[in-house]
Amino acid sequence: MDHRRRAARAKRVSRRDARGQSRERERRRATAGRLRPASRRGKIRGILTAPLRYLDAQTLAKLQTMALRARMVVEGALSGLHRAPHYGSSVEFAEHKEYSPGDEIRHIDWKAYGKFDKYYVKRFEQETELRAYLLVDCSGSMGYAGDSRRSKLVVASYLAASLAYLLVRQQDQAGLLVFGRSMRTYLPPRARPQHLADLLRALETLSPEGPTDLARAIDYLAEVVRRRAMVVVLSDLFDQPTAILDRMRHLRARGHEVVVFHVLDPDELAFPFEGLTLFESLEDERRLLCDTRATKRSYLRELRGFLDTWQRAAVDANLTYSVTDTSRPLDRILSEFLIGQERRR
Amino acid sequence: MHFLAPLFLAGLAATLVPILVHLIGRRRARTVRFSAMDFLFASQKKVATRLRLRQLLLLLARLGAIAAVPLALARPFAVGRADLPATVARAQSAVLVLDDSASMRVRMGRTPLFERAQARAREILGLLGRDSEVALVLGSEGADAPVGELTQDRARVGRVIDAQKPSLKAADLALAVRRAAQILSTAGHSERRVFVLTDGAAHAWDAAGPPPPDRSPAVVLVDVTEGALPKNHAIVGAEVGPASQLGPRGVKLTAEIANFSDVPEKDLAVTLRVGGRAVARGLADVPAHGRARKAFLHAFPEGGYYDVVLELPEDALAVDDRRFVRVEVRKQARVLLVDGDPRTIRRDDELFYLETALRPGEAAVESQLEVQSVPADGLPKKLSDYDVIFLCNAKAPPAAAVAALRAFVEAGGGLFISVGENVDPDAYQAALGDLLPQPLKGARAIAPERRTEGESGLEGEGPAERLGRIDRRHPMLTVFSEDAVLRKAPFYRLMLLAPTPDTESRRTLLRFESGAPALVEAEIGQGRVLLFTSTIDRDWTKLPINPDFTPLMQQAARYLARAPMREPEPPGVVGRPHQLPILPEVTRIEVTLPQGAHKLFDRAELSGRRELAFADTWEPGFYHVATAAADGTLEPRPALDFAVNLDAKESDFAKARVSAPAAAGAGERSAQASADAPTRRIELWHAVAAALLVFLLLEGTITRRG
Repeated sequence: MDHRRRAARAKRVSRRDARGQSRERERRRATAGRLRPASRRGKIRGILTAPLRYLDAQTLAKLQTMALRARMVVEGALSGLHRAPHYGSSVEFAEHKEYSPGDEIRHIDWKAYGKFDKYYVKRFEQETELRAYLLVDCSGSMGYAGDSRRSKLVVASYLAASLAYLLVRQQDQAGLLVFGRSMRTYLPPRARPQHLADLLRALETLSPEGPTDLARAIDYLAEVVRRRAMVVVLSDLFDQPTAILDRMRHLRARGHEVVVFHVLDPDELAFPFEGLTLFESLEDERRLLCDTRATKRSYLRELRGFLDTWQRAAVDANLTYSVTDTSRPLDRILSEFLIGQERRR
Repeated sequence: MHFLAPLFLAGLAATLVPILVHLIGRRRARTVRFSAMDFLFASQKKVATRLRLRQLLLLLARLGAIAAVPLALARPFAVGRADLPATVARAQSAVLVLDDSASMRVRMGRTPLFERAQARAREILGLLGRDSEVALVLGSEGADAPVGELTQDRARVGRVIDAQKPSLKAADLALAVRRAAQILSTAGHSERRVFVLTDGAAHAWDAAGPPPPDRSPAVVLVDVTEGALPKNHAIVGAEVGPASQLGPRGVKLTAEIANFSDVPEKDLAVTLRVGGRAVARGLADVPAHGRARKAFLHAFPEGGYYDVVLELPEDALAVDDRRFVRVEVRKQARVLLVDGDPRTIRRDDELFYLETALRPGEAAVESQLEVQSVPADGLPKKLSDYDVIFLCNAKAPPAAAVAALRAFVEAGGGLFISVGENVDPDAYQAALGDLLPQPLKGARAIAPERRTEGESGLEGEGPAERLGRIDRRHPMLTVFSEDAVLRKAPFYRLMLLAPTPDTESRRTLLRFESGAPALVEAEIGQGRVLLFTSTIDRDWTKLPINPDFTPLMQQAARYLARAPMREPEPPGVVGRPHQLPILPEVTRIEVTLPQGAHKLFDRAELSGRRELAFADTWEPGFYHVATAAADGTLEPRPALDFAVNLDAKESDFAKARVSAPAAAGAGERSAQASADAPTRRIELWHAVAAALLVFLLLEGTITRRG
């Protein structure tokens, strides 16, 4: 009887050790090739040594506690924060399943066995990388500043930079496409810290000019994007909605998540002008002399109709859409967006 | 427009300021480089028209407001033509003559002229100075004065004015003005005026026209048409005549249409109504201020009296677009002439003159008598084929013939008996008996002492008897005047009759001057018998060659045939009395008015009178008469029915010419005339000030609404 008890005890110890080792191996595998988050942040900061317009120290401090999660299921390598479409070995426990021949012995939950005297196997969510494309509108209308002293392009660039930082920090890939009438800059999505610096530098050199063609930009993107990704559009959308929405629906049909930041200046939203005013276009040669008091009501009606069109279309096409008032604090804009993403998962 | 302070008009230069401000404002517009240009252009497109209009209105409102200030300060006024003198506001004695004639019913715009006149009358009442006294007279024919004495109670006069209604009578303003002058003769104020509120038509005055303004009392004409001439057409006359081409009952009705406007009327519809039913329509072209005639031919189903209306489409004055006419359609009478003394020489034949009278050549058709002559022994067996038999100087008929004659008369036929040499009084009495209206006594030549000298036609033939006064009351004799030529016919021999008192069924229609009966009537059964106590040829009298012989014989034939006796009287005029003959046996007369009301006249009102002056002819249309004899049963008398029409002169609105005042130097009258000059100053600055307020309000409203 004693040797049987001793054998059983040894067996238990052996199993415990095996479990511990197995866990250690598991942990090491999971972090293999990856820096710990704190280390990754430090590395990124080390790369971003030159003063940056869109990621100053204050902004960076605010971004430390944020994380960008994809709302929808994305594909990629098994090292990101986002849900993968199937189960597999990963670092995050998902659920228990009764053991059946063929399941991995190392995944047996021995605690559960001790409790219930039955064999159960742990199931884990497969975590993978997010690939995001940041489309920044650089047309002439984005250069409008109004009294807020911050042009729409500046706000869009801020948002793009912040999102890019979050992505790279959490080992997701961020790409950039700057467009106007045509494609001005394209940086394919990467997760390396050095890529972030390139991206930020590209944002700092933007100059708004000319008309816009978002539909063409989306067409371009549709050709280069292979796997499911997140497409973030930062634009005032002053273009024909129909063509743009068609392309966005097409992206959605292909499984991409589409986020639209509709960047607008308070002057555009409220039309606070008074008296006889000569308006000159920022994108072309058009001019209009009008009595603003008489025109205001009709202008606001037109704008309301435009925004309603986008609201309805966003709901229909399952887009993430928000009107971004450039006079609001950026961190609030960002946090509202990120919280919204969490809620919608 | 005139100005009391024209120097202020220099301020109109300030109207340039808004224009300059507008132009400068455009140049100084703020420039904004903006992004959402698409929305701006879209909104501008929608509001562009409204904006332009708003800007234009704003500019006009500002210009108007700025211009109104110097204009108002310059005290503009206009000089208007006034129909009321400036002195109307003084204390005075005034008589208002309100023209209530038919022409005042015309509508100009939406309001009848009479209502305008009432309004002006009330306006004058209000303008009269304190302590003024006023009376009211109406201006139509025979109208009274509703307020016949001067009074200071203007409220009462106002109420009386409001209670008046326009009549259908013709105007007689001359009489009304005279009456007003009469009322003013006892006036308390030295200033006296007559205000005549009328349509200004010339027909309302007599030949002298309106009185000149310098006459005393002053007559102020207030033309409520304000000089305008109403467009009006009317039927001003109607003629009725035979239409032989349509047979014995064919009638030709001709309407005379007048156009009183400046515009010619083309294809004006004219309608003929018989018994209320439209039987014919035609079109007429009437020149401006001209006349036209439209004739209708209509065959009536049977003889009798008919109510016929000729009408036009209604215009501003509807009452003159209808003309009422009583048409008599004569029954054709079949007349048998029995020749008691045929001669080979036509002129000497007993019936020569009678036939000529009953068949007067070309007018034979018009007489409506179908005449046949037979010798005395050729009396037809069937007398019912005739309506009237003339038994002329025939010997006493045999019994069978008498029986036939009696049956003929009793059945409704008419028998005319004339005497001569062949008539033996005793034989006639024995044969005809009570068929004779009065027993024959014997023929007699006129006694020398009873003969009277005649006229030139009687030379060599000695003195003669003549007919006495003619009683026109009898239907057969109404066509003759009391002194008809008939009375000049000499009678040298006549048949005396046994004295017999007149009864209801037997009376003497004509007597000689001596009192002997000349024509006696008897009603036997349904028929009538007339006994003429002389010959109907020239044997005993020259009556056959008297001009009145033909109508006498025609009337006798119609009377005996119970055909209409006389031409229907021409239609009467609204407001004028219509004379109705009162026959001796009539005890009651009832007249039914066009609207259906009845007027009854009993024995007491008719007693001792030969004619009734029916004065209630206030409305145009047909008036139907019924009479009652002793038994009291009212029976219609179509022969007495009559039509009443509007006086045609009321349809003509041609303006009266007002006489010029007397020459200057006539002292007080000239001063009066100056004081009454028909002009007045109309202050306009009130209107300009009101316009200023409106412009300011408009400018504020537009500015506020943005």
